[in-house]
Amino acid sequence: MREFRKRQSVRRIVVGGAFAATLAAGVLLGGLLTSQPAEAQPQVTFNGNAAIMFHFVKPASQSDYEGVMQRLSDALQRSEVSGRQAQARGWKVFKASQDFTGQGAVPYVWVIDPVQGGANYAAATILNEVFPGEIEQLFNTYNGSFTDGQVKQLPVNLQLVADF
Amino acid sequence: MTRSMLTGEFRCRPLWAAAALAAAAALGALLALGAPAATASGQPPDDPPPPDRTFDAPAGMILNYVQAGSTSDYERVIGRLAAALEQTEDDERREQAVGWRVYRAGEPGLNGSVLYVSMVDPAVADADYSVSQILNEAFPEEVQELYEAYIGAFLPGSGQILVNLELVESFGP
Repeated sequence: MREFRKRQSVRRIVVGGAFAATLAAGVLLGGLLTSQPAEAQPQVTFNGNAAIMFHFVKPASQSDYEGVMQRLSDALQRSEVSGRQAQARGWKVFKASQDFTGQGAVPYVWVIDPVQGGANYAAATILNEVFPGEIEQLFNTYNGSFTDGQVKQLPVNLQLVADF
Repeated sequence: MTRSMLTGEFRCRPLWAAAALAAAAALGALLALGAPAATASGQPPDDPPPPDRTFDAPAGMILNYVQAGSTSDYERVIGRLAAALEQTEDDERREQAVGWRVYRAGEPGLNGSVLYVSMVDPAVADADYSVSQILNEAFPEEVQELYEAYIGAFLPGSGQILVNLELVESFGP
């Protein structure tokens, strides 16, 4: 137990010294970004049984982004497109309390569990299905809310390891 | 017009793609810097130090960077954590277990690292989510070996990054 506590102190040092390795993780995430293919239409699909998607938003545009998320919620609930209701059931949007981006951005996180295999999670597509008359304004607001920094979004596919 | 705007949403711009590595490195740096700040935030100076892993929001996540060669060790420890939470008599621990899942990222990582995400929703206010502490409560005779396997699994120089999360929208009915 004494050794355990001593090692806990060592762990704190390890955690405190996470800078370099997390840089590497950032590079990894950058690698994920660059691997995203250009699409003829907005297409966001996930191949795990769960996923997270980071969105990095300008501090002054939080209400714009959240307003679009509210319309997305409306769209998912009203949608008559097959599978949208199932998508909605496992989809939440969170705002991170801390700015960990280095871009002066506010990180938002989509948490999707379970993922509907093959389903398109592109917000603009879903909004366009239900609110075609508003799509230009909604899209401009949505697109304009993202940070001017280089990293605007980070998708991560996830496989469940343990459900406690 | 709509179509062309939609088309632009997820297009990979060459400059954007070329600069993504540097920007993501900055993100990584900030993730690391954010970790100790999250632990210390909001604590009055006269109060005792907070437990290692607590959330001060309704939900949260912990990012863990694990060596590819050590994923089985890491997952074995997570399996013991599941057993510990399943057999605990502590009401708070049972409450913690309800909203706690661990995922493995599908994308391969730099230098062979694998990202594991602990997602906690809902988070139990002030509860300690330290894996080693929970294991020590349930398996004191095993904790030394489990702890060594757990710590040894992380990417050298890496740690955990705790992120507090506020719910904005739940799209489900």
